[in-house]
Amino acid sequence: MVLLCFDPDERKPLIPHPNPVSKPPNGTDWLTPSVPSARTDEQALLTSILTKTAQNIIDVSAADSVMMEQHEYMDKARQYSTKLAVLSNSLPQKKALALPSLTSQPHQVLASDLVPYSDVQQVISCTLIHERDV
Amino acid sequence: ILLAQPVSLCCFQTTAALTAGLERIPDQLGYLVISEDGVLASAGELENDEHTAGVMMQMVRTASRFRLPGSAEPPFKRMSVILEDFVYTVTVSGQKVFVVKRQNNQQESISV
Repeated sequence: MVLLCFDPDERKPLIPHPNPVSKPPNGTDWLTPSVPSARTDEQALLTSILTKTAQNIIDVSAADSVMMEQHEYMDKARQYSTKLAVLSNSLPQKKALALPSLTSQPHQVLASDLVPYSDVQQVISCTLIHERDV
Repeated sequence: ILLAQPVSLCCFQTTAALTAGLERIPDQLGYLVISEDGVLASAGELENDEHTAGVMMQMVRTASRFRLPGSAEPPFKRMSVILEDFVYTVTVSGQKVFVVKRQNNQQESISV
């Protein structure tokens, strides 16, 4: 559990300044050796967590100062659209290809004579020869 | 056994309805008309046969990818799946796959 306590000296910075010269002169620095060692360890741990957190924060408060004009937005949008269009054209089509039309008279094609038995037998023997040679 | 068979043209029935012509095919045991979305019509031994429809669709898709050098179109009009007692004849027209199961009356049994 982490207990958060308000420091009586609210002006004290949460993160100690890296430069020891600019430490608060009042001697209340919480890494002073006068505090018990258990407390020091805890404080040191908290300090390191705080420092890491501060390092990981990206300050976006200044982002508002970078204002883009309307036409700049439009230009960028157009630029990205063009790039996307070029990329999507070069990608292989995922969609299954449409069925080819084999005939315009399906009933007639299906009703015509079946493959003669001799043709079937020839194909079978060719296949067997091919399989044997492979 | 799968054969891609060129079929010669003759003048027989050009304005039939989707299935009317299929009913009159000699020795037919049943038929399927399949679109990209599923079975449009079925009858006889192939009535509501979604499984056969799926297999035939896949087979004709695979077969129709085959091209002869210098040709843009598949080099066949009908695919025949020949079994001992019957034959599935399959063709594609107007984005629809037509499958007709026909009796195989040939005397000799096919030995592989």
